[in-house]
Amino acid sequence: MGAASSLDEQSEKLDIAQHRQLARRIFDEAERLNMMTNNILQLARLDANNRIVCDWQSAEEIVGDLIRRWRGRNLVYRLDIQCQSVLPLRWCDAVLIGQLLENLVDNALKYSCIDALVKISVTTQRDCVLFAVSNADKGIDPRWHDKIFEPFQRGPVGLDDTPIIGTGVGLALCRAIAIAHAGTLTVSCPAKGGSCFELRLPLRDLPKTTIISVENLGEHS
Amino acid sequence: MSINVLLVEDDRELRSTLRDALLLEGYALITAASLSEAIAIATHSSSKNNSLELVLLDLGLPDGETLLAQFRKQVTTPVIVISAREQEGQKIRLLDLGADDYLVKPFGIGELLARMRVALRHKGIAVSASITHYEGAGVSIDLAARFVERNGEQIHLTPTEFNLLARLVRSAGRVVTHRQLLSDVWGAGYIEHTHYLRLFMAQLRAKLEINSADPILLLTEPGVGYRLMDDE
Repeated sequence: MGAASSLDEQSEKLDIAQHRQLARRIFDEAERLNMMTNNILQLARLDANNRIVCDWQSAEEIVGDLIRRWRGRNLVYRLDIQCQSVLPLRWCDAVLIGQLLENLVDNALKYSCIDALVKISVTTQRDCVLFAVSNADKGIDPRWHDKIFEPFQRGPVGLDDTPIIGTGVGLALCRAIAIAHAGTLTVSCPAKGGSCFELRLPLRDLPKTTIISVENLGEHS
Repeated sequence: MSINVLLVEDDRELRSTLRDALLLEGYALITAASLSEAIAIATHSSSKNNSLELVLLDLGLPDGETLLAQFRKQVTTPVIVISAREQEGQKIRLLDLGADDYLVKPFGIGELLARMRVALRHKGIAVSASITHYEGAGVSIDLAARFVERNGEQIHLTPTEFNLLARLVRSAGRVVTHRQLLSDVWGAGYIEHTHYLRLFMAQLRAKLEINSADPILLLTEPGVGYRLMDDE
Protein backbone atom coordinates (compact mmCIF):
# COMPACT_ATOMS: atom_id res chain seq x y z
CA MET A 1 0.00 0.00 0.00
CA GLY A 2 2.77 2.44 0.96
CA ALA A 3 4.67 1.78 -2.25
CA ALA A 4 1.52 2.02 -4.37
CA SER A 5 0.40 5.30 -2.84
CA SER A 6 3.89 6.74 -3.19
CA LEU A 7 3.78 5.90 -6.92
CA ASP A 8 0.34 7.39 -7.14
CA GLU A 9 0.93 10.61 -5.22
CA GLN A 10 4.62 11.36 -5.70
CA SER A 11 5.05 10.14 -9.24
CA GLU A 12 6.52 13.32 -10.72
CA LYS A 13 9.14 13.61 -7.95
CA LEU A 14 10.44 10.09 -8.42
CA ASP A 15 13.18 9.11 -10.84
CA ILE A 16 13.08 5.94 -12.98
CA ALA A 17 15.10 3.90 -10.51
CA GLN A 18 12.74 4.82 -7.68
CA HIS A 19 9.74 3.98 -9.87
CA ARG A 20 11.23 0.57 -10.55
CA GLN A 21 12.02 -0.06 -6.91
CA LEU A 22 8.49 0.79 -5.81
CA ALA A 23 6.95 -1.31 -8.57
CA ARG A 24 9.21 -4.19 -7.52
CA ARG A 25 8.06 -3.83 -3.92
CA ILE A 26 4.41 -3.88 -4.96
CA PHE A 27 5.10 -6.95 -7.05
CA ASP A 28 6.75 -8.79 -4.15
CA GLU A 29 3.96 -7.85 -1.77
CA ALA A 30 1.30 -8.89 -4.28
CA GLU A 31 3.06 -12.23 -4.64
CA ARG A 32 3.06 -12.70 -0.87
CA LEU A 33 -0.58 -11.72 -0.65
CA ASN A 34 -1.39 -14.16 -3.43
CA MET A 35 0.37 -16.99 -1.61
CA MET A 36 -1.45 -16.12 1.62
CA THR A 37 -4.83 -16.01 -0.13
CA ASN A 38 -4.15 -19.33 -1.85
CA ASN A 39 -3.25 -20.85 1.52
CA ILE A 40 -6.44 -19.63 3.17
CA LEU A 41 -8.65 -20.71 0.26
CA GLN A 42 -7.03 -24.12 0.02
CA LEU A 43 -7.31 -24.70 3.76
CA ALA A 44 -11.00 -23.79 3.62
CA ARG A 45 -11.49 -26.11 0.64
CA LEU A 46 -9.80 -29.06 2.36
CA ASP A 47 -11.85 -28.32 5.45
CA ALA A 48 -15.07 -28.33 3.46
CA ASN A 49 -14.66 -31.48 1.38
CA ASN A 50 -11.16 -32.92 1.79
CA ARG A 51 -11.16 -33.67 -1.92
CA ILE A 52 -7.75 -34.09 -3.52
CA VAL A 53 -6.94 -34.97 -7.13
CA CYS A 54 -4.46 -37.83 -6.97
CA ASP A 55 -2.46 -39.33 -9.77
CA TRP A 56 0.88 -41.13 -10.11
CA GLN A 57 3.39 -38.34 -9.65
CA SER A 58 7.12 -38.15 -9.73
CA ALA A 59 8.81 -36.62 -6.67
CA GLU A 60 11.56 -35.44 -8.98
CA GLU A 61 9.06 -33.38 -10.98
CA ILE A 62 7.53 -31.90 -7.85
CA VAL A 63 10.97 -30.80 -6.66
CA GLY A 64 11.81 -29.57 -10.18
CA ASP A 65 8.76 -27.34 -10.13
CA LEU A 66 9.83 -25.99 -6.73
CA ILE A 67 13.27 -25.09 -8.13
CA ARG A 68 11.63 -23.33 -11.07
CA ARG A 69 9.49 -21.16 -8.79
CA TRP A 70 12.45 -20.02 -6.72
CA ARG A 71 14.50 -19.42 -9.81
CA GLY A 72 11.78 -16.96 -10.86
CA ARG A 73 12.30 -15.15 -7.55
CA ASN A 74 16.11 -15.24 -7.92
CA LEU A 75 16.46 -17.25 -4.74
CA VAL A 76 17.46 -20.60 -6.14
CA TYR A 77 21.07 -20.06 -5.03
CA ARG A 78 19.87 -20.44 -1.43
CA LEU A 79 18.49 -23.92 -2.01
CA ASP A 80 20.59 -27.00 -1.44
CA ILE A 81 18.68 -29.84 -3.06
CA GLN A 82 19.39 -33.52 -2.64
CA CYS A 83 17.03 -35.71 -4.60
CA GLN A 84 17.72 -39.44 -4.51
CA SER A 85 18.37 -40.51 -8.09
CA VAL A 86 15.69 -43.15 -8.50
CA LEU A 87 12.53 -42.32 -6.59
CA PRO A 88 9.35 -44.35 -6.84
CA LEU A 89 6.25 -42.71 -8.27
CA ARG A 90 3.94 -41.30 -5.63
CA TRP A 91 0.15 -41.46 -5.62
CA CYS A 92 -0.64 -37.85 -4.67
CA ASP A 93 -2.00 -34.45 -5.64
CA ALA A 94 1.04 -32.76 -7.21
CA VAL A 95 -0.41 -29.27 -7.01
CA LEU A 96 -1.08 -29.59 -3.27
CA ILE A 97 2.23 -31.26 -2.43
CA GLY A 98 3.91 -28.48 -4.42
CA GLN A 99 2.02 -25.88 -2.39
CA LEU A 100 3.00 -27.63 0.86
CA LEU A 101 6.71 -27.68 -0.03
CA GLU A 102 6.57 -24.09 -1.24
CA ASN A 103 5.25 -23.03 2.17
CA LEU A 104 7.92 -25.01 4.03
CA VAL A 105 10.72 -23.60 1.88
CA ASP A 106 9.30 -20.08 2.14
CA ASN A 107 9.26 -20.35 5.94
CA ALA A 108 12.74 -21.85 6.05
CA LEU A 109 14.09 -18.96 3.95
CA LYS A 110 12.18 -16.36 5.94
CA TYR A 111 13.47 -17.55 9.29
CA SER A 112 17.13 -17.82 8.48
CA CYS A 113 19.84 -15.24 7.78
CA ILE A 114 20.03 -13.67 4.37
CA ASP A 115 22.14 -15.94 2.15
CA ALA A 116 21.92 -18.93 4.51
CA LEU A 117 21.16 -22.19 2.72
CA VAL A 118 17.92 -24.12 3.00
CA LYS A 119 18.28 -27.88 2.59
CA ILE A 120 15.66 -29.88 0.72
CA SER A 121 16.03 -33.62 0.47
CA VAL A 122 13.87 -36.40 -0.89
CA THR A 123 14.60 -40.01 0.02
CA THR A 124 12.80 -43.33 0.05
CA GLN A 125 12.39 -44.91 3.44
CA ARG A 126 11.17 -48.45 4.11
CA ASP A 127 7.48 -47.63 3.70
CA CYS A 128 7.33 -43.97 2.75
CA VAL A 129 8.87 -41.14 0.78
CA LEU A 130 10.46 -38.55 3.04
CA PHE A 131 10.61 -34.89 2.03
CA ALA A 132 12.75 -32.87 4.47
CA VAL A 133 13.16 -29.10 4.52
CA SER A 134 15.65 -27.72 7.01
CA ASN A 135 17.51 -24.53 7.77
CA ALA A 136 20.04 -23.28 10.29
CA ASP A 137 17.81 -20.86 12.20
CA LYS A 138 17.75 -20.62 15.96
CA GLY A 139 15.25 -23.44 16.30
CA ILE A 140 11.71 -23.65 17.58
CA ASP A 141 10.71 -23.92 21.22
CA PRO A 142 9.74 -27.61 21.74
CA ARG A 143 6.52 -26.51 23.47
CA TRP A 144 5.42 -25.12 20.12
CA HIS A 145 6.29 -28.14 17.98
CA ASP A 146 2.68 -29.21 17.74
CA LYS A 147 0.97 -25.87 18.18
CA ILE A 148 2.55 -24.26 15.11
CA PHE A 149 0.49 -26.57 12.92
CA GLU A 150 -2.77 -25.31 14.37
CA PRO A 151 -4.50 -22.53 12.43
CA PHE A 152 -3.96 -18.92 13.58
CA GLN A 153 -1.43 -19.91 16.25
CA ARG A 154 1.09 -17.14 16.57
CA GLY A 155 3.57 -16.60 19.30
CA PRO A 156 7.19 -16.16 20.22
CA VAL A 157 7.97 -19.61 18.87
CA GLY A 158 11.66 -18.97 18.26
CA LEU A 159 14.03 -20.11 21.01
CA ASP A 160 15.13 -16.48 21.31
CA ASP A 161 11.56 -15.15 21.20
CA THR A 162 11.78 -14.39 17.47
CA PRO A 163 8.46 -12.89 16.52
CA ILE A 164 6.69 -14.66 13.70
CA ILE A 165 5.13 -12.72 10.86
CA GLY A 166 2.25 -14.01 8.77
CA THR A 167 -1.26 -15.21 9.45
CA GLY A 168 -0.63 -18.63 10.94
CA VAL A 169 -2.27 -20.41 8.04
CA GLY A 170 0.68 -21.76 6.05
CA LEU A 171 1.70 -24.58 8.38
CA ALA A 172 -1.91 -25.45 9.19
CA LEU A 173 -2.49 -25.93 5.48
CA CYS A 174 0.70 -27.99 5.16
CA ARG A 175 -0.46 -30.38 7.84
CA ALA A 176 -3.97 -30.57 6.36
CA ILE A 177 -2.46 -31.54 2.99
CA ALA A 178 -0.24 -34.17 4.63
CA ILE A 179 -3.23 -35.66 6.46
CA ALA A 180 -5.37 -35.66 3.30
CA HIS A 181 -2.64 -37.87 1.79
CA ALA A 182 -2.58 -40.18 4.84
CA GLY A 183 0.86 -38.82 5.56
CA THR A 184 2.48 -36.97 8.44
CA LEU A 185 4.20 -33.61 8.85
CA THR A 186 6.41 -33.03 11.88
CA VAL A 187 9.10 -30.65 13.03
CA SER A 188 12.24 -31.35 14.98
CA CYS A 189 15.14 -29.20 16.09
CA PRO A 190 18.45 -31.02 15.97
CA ALA A 191 20.88 -30.32 18.82
CA LYS A 192 23.33 -28.67 16.42
CA GLY A 193 20.71 -26.00 15.69
CA GLY A 194 18.15 -25.18 13.06
CA SER A 195 14.79 -26.71 12.43
CA CYS A 196 13.80 -29.55 10.17
CA PHE A 197 10.30 -30.16 8.79
CA GLU A 198 9.64 -33.70 7.61
CA LEU A 199 6.81 -34.80 5.37
CA ARG A 200 6.25 -38.54 5.11
CA LEU A 201 3.96 -39.90 2.43
CA PRO A 202 3.17 -43.61 2.53
CA LEU A 203 4.27 -45.68 -0.46
CA ARG A 204 1.68 -47.43 -2.54
CA ASP A 205 2.45 -50.20 -5.03
CA LEU A 206 2.02 -49.57 -8.72
CA PRO A 207 -0.48 -52.12 -10.07
CA LYS A 208 1.50 -55.26 -10.98
CA THR A 209 0.09 -55.59 -14.49
CA THR A 210 1.18 -52.03 -15.08
CA ILE A 211 4.78 -52.69 -14.16
CA ILE A 212 5.01 -55.57 -16.62
CA SER A 213 3.48 -53.63 -19.46
CA VAL A 214 5.68 -50.61 -18.82
CA GLU A 215 8.80 -52.75 -19.12
CA ASN A 216 7.59 -54.19 -22.39
CA LEU A 217 6.23 -51.00 -23.76
CA GLY A 218 8.28 -49.03 -26.21
CA GLU A 219 10.57 -51.80 -27.37
CA HIS A 220 7.79 -54.00 -28.72
CA SER A 221 5.21 -51.44 -29.67
CA MET B 1 -0.12 -4.25 -39.99
CA SER B 2 -0.66 -5.04 -36.38
CA ILE B 3 -1.97 -8.38 -35.24
CA ASN B 4 -5.67 -8.61 -34.32
CA VAL B 5 -6.21 -9.98 -30.84
CA LEU B 6 -9.57 -10.67 -29.25
CA LEU B 7 -9.55 -10.38 -25.48
CA VAL B 8 -12.54 -12.03 -23.81
CA GLU B 9 -12.48 -10.87 -20.21
CA ASP B 10 -15.33 -10.09 -17.82
CA ASP B 11 -13.19 -8.43 -15.16
CA ARG B 12 -13.10 -4.75 -16.11
CA GLU B 13 -9.83 -3.95 -14.32
CA LEU B 14 -7.95 -6.84 -15.83
CA ARG B 15 -9.45 -6.13 -19.23
CA SER B 16 -8.20 -2.58 -19.26
CA THR B 17 -4.77 -3.49 -17.85
CA LEU B 18 -4.26 -6.19 -20.47
CA ARG B 19 -5.60 -3.98 -23.25
CA ASP B 20 -3.21 -1.14 -22.39
CA ALA B 21 -0.24 -3.49 -22.05
CA LEU B 22 -0.93 -5.18 -25.39
CA LEU B 23 -1.57 -1.90 -27.20
CA LEU B 24 1.85 -0.75 -25.96
CA GLU B 25 3.33 -3.82 -27.60
CA GLY B 26 1.71 -2.91 -30.91
CA TYR B 27 -1.17 -5.37 -30.99
CA ALA B 28 -4.60 -4.33 -32.28
CA LEU B 29 -7.08 -5.12 -29.53
CA ILE B 30 -10.75 -6.01 -29.69
CA THR B 31 -12.30 -6.62 -26.29
CA ALA B 32 -15.41 -8.53 -25.31
CA ALA B 33 -16.92 -8.60 -21.83
CA SER B 34 -19.26 -11.48 -22.45
CA LEU B 35 -19.44 -14.70 -24.38
CA SER B 36 -22.24 -13.55 -26.68
CA GLU B 37 -20.27 -10.42 -27.52
CA ALA B 38 -17.20 -12.55 -28.27
CA ILE B 39 -19.15 -14.89 -30.52
CA ALA B 40 -20.68 -11.94 -32.39
CA ILE B 41 -17.22 -10.47 -32.94
CA ALA B 42 -15.84 -13.79 -34.08
CA THR B 43 -18.68 -14.35 -36.53
CA HIS B 44 -18.40 -10.83 -37.86
CA SER B 45 -14.63 -10.89 -38.28
CA SER B 46 -14.61 -14.24 -40.06
CA SER B 47 -16.94 -12.85 -42.71
CA LYS B 48 -14.57 -9.96 -43.37
CA ASN B 49 -10.91 -9.96 -44.19
CA ASN B 50 -9.58 -8.62 -40.90
CA SER B 51 -9.77 -12.00 -39.25
CA LEU B 52 -8.76 -12.60 -35.66
CA GLU B 53 -5.27 -13.92 -35.23
CA LEU B 54 -5.29 -14.72 -31.54
CA VAL B 55 -7.87 -15.11 -28.78
CA LEU B 56 -7.27 -14.61 -25.06
CA LEU B 57 -10.13 -16.28 -23.21
CA ASP B 58 -10.73 -15.83 -19.50
CA LEU B 59 -12.38 -18.81 -17.83
CA GLY B 60 -14.19 -16.50 -15.43
CA LEU B 61 -16.91 -16.47 -18.08
CA PRO B 62 -19.32 -19.36 -17.94
CA ASP B 63 -19.40 -21.80 -20.83
CA GLY B 64 -16.00 -21.05 -22.35
CA GLU B 65 -16.28 -24.41 -24.08
CA THR B 66 -18.97 -23.09 -26.43
CA LEU B 67 -16.75 -20.24 -27.48
CA LEU B 68 -13.79 -22.54 -27.99
CA ALA B 69 -15.90 -24.82 -30.19
CA GLN B 70 -16.90 -21.76 -32.21
CA PHE B 71 -13.27 -20.77 -32.76
CA ARG B 72 -12.24 -24.29 -33.59
CA LYS B 73 -14.76 -24.18 -36.44
CA GLN B 74 -12.84 -21.23 -37.83
CA VAL B 75 -9.82 -23.47 -38.01
CA THR B 76 -6.56 -21.89 -37.02
CA THR B 77 -7.14 -19.03 -34.60
CA PRO B 78 -4.98 -19.86 -31.58
CA VAL B 79 -6.72 -19.65 -28.21
CA ILE B 80 -4.89 -18.97 -24.95
CA VAL B 81 -6.92 -19.71 -21.85
CA ILE B 82 -6.58 -17.47 -18.78
CA SER B 83 -7.66 -19.25 -15.64
CA ALA B 84 -7.77 -18.86 -11.89
CA ARG B 85 -5.94 -21.36 -9.76
CA GLU B 86 -9.08 -23.21 -8.70
CA GLN B 87 -10.22 -23.75 -12.30
CA GLU B 88 -7.73 -26.55 -12.88
CA GLY B 89 -10.28 -29.04 -14.21
CA GLN B 90 -11.96 -26.61 -16.60
CA LYS B 91 -8.61 -25.42 -17.91
CA ILE B 92 -7.44 -28.96 -18.69
CA ARG B 93 -10.76 -29.70 -20.44
CA LEU B 94 -10.28 -26.70 -22.71
CA LEU B 95 -6.70 -27.66 -23.50
CA ASP B 96 -7.86 -31.18 -24.34
CA LEU B 97 -10.53 -29.62 -26.55
CA GLY B 98 -7.89 -27.77 -28.53
CA ALA B 99 -7.00 -24.55 -26.71
CA ASP B 100 -3.38 -23.78 -27.50
CA ASP B 101 -2.00 -22.75 -24.15
CA TYR B 102 -2.89 -21.34 -20.76
CA LEU B 103 -1.88 -18.83 -18.13
CA VAL B 104 -2.83 -18.94 -14.46
CA LYS B 105 -3.78 -15.69 -12.74
CA PRO B 106 -1.92 -13.76 -11.49
CA PHE B 107 0.64 -13.70 -14.31
CA GLY B 108 3.26 -11.25 -15.53
CA ILE B 109 3.00 -9.40 -18.82
CA GLY B 110 6.32 -10.91 -19.93
CA GLU B 111 4.85 -14.38 -19.51
CA LEU B 112 1.73 -13.43 -21.48
CA LEU B 113 3.75 -11.96 -24.36
CA ALA B 114 5.95 -15.05 -24.53
CA ARG B 115 2.91 -17.35 -24.72
CA MET B 116 1.35 -15.15 -27.40
CA ARG B 117 4.50 -15.19 -29.52
CA VAL B 118 4.67 -18.98 -29.44
CA ALA B 119 0.94 -19.36 -30.20
CA LEU B 120 1.16 -16.94 -33.13
CA ARG B 121 4.17 -18.68 -34.55
CA HIS B 122 2.27 -21.94 -34.60
CA LYS B 123 -0.86 -20.25 -35.91
CA GLY B 124 -3.01 -22.51 -33.82
CA ILE B 125 -2.40 -25.64 -35.83
CA ALA B 126 -2.87 -28.16 -33.07
CA VAL B 127 -0.12 -30.51 -34.17
CA SER B 128 2.06 -29.27 -36.95
CA ALA B 129 3.41 -32.16 -38.97
CA SER B 130 5.72 -29.74 -40.73
CA ILE B 131 7.92 -29.15 -37.68
CA THR B 132 10.70 -31.68 -38.01
CA HIS B 133 13.68 -29.89 -36.47
CA TYR B 134 14.35 -28.68 -33.00
CA GLU B 135 17.36 -27.00 -31.44
CA GLY B 136 17.57 -26.05 -27.79
CA ALA B 137 19.82 -26.33 -24.73
CA GLY B 138 22.54 -28.20 -26.62
CA VAL B 139 20.07 -30.74 -27.96
CA SER B 140 19.40 -31.13 -31.66
CA ILE B 141 16.50 -33.20 -32.94
CA ASP B 142 15.75 -34.25 -36.52
CA LEU B 143 12.42 -36.05 -36.56
CA ALA B 144 12.54 -37.11 -40.22
CA ALA B 145 15.93 -38.76 -39.77
CA ARG B 146 14.96 -40.01 -36.27
CA PHE B 147 18.19 -38.49 -35.07
CA VAL B 148 18.80 -36.92 -31.66
CA GLU B 149 22.08 -35.54 -30.41
CA ARG B 150 23.27 -33.71 -27.32
CA ASN B 151 26.42 -31.61 -27.46
CA GLY B 152 27.40 -33.33 -30.70
CA GLU B 153 26.95 -36.83 -29.33
CA GLN B 154 24.23 -39.09 -30.67
CA ILE B 155 21.59 -40.10 -28.12
CA HIS B 156 19.88 -43.46 -28.52
CA LEU B 157 16.18 -43.44 -27.73
CA THR B 158 13.74 -46.33 -27.59
CA PRO B 159 10.82 -46.06 -30.03
CA THR B 160 8.42 -44.90 -27.31
CA GLU B 161 10.89 -42.36 -25.96
CA PHE B 162 11.31 -41.05 -29.49
CA ASN B 163 7.56 -40.85 -30.15
CA LEU B 164 7.02 -38.98 -26.90
CA LEU B 165 9.78 -36.51 -27.74
CA ALA B 166 8.50 -36.11 -31.30
CA ARG B 167 5.02 -35.22 -30.04
CA LEU B 168 6.51 -32.49 -27.84
CA VAL B 169 8.72 -31.21 -30.66
CA ARG B 170 5.65 -30.72 -32.86
CA SER B 171 4.18 -28.47 -30.15
CA ALA B 172 7.48 -26.93 -29.05
CA GLY B 173 6.98 -24.05 -26.64
CA ARG B 174 3.37 -25.03 -25.94
CA VAL B 175 1.86 -27.14 -23.24
CA VAL B 176 0.71 -30.65 -24.19
CA THR B 177 -1.70 -32.25 -21.73
CA HIS B 178 -1.21 -35.68 -20.19
CA ARG B 179 -4.27 -36.91 -22.05
CA GLN B 180 -3.01 -35.64 -25.41
CA LEU B 181 0.40 -37.24 -24.90
CA LEU B 182 -1.01 -40.58 -23.77
CA SER B 183 -3.51 -40.70 -26.57
CA ASP B 184 -1.07 -39.62 -29.32
CA VAL B 185 1.89 -41.71 -28.18
CA TRP B 186 0.28 -44.82 -26.70
CA GLY B 187 -3.24 -44.74 -28.09
CA ALA B 188 -6.72 -43.67 -27.02
CA GLY B 189 -7.06 -46.67 -24.68
CA TYR B 190 -4.20 -45.44 -22.50
CA ILE B 191 -5.39 -42.02 -21.35
CA GLU B 192 -5.70 -43.14 -17.75
CA HIS B 193 -2.17 -44.52 -17.58
CA THR B 194 -0.33 -41.39 -16.49
CA HIS B 195 2.38 -43.42 -14.78
CA TYR B 196 3.67 -44.52 -18.22
CA LEU B 197 4.17 -40.88 -18.99
CA ARG B 198 6.04 -40.19 -15.75
CA LEU B 199 8.33 -43.16 -16.22
CA PHE B 200 9.15 -42.46 -19.86
CA MET B 201 9.58 -38.77 -19.16
CA ALA B 202 12.06 -39.64 -16.40
CA GLN B 203 13.98 -41.80 -18.88
CA LEU B 204 13.98 -39.07 -21.53
CA ARG B 205 15.21 -36.53 -19.00
CA ALA B 206 17.97 -38.88 -17.84
CA LYS B 207 19.18 -38.98 -21.46
CA LEU B 208 18.68 -35.34 -22.46
CA GLU B 209 18.93 -33.17 -19.34
CA ILE B 210 22.04 -32.22 -17.39
CA ASN B 211 20.12 -32.42 -14.12
CA SER B 212 16.82 -34.20 -14.47
CA ALA B 213 15.48 -32.77 -11.19
CA ASP B 214 16.01 -29.31 -12.68
CA PRO B 215 15.03 -29.72 -16.33
CA ILE B 216 15.56 -26.89 -18.80
CA LEU B 217 14.27 -28.71 -21.88
CA LEU B 218 11.45 -31.04 -20.81
CA LEU B 219 9.42 -28.84 -18.50
CA THR B 220 6.69 -30.03 -16.13
CA GLU B 221 3.36 -28.21 -16.01
CA PRO B 222 2.12 -29.56 -12.68
CA GLY B 223 -1.27 -31.20 -12.91
CA VAL B 224 -1.57 -30.35 -16.62
CA GLY B 225 1.13 -31.85 -18.78
CA TYR B 226 4.53 -31.12 -20.28
CA ARG B 227 6.09 -28.40 -22.36
CA LEU B 228 9.23 -28.60 -24.47
CA MET B 229 11.23 -25.41 -24.06
CA ASP B 230 10.56 -23.01 -26.94
CA ASP B 231 13.21 -23.64 -29.59
CA GLU B 232 16.03 -21.24 -30.32
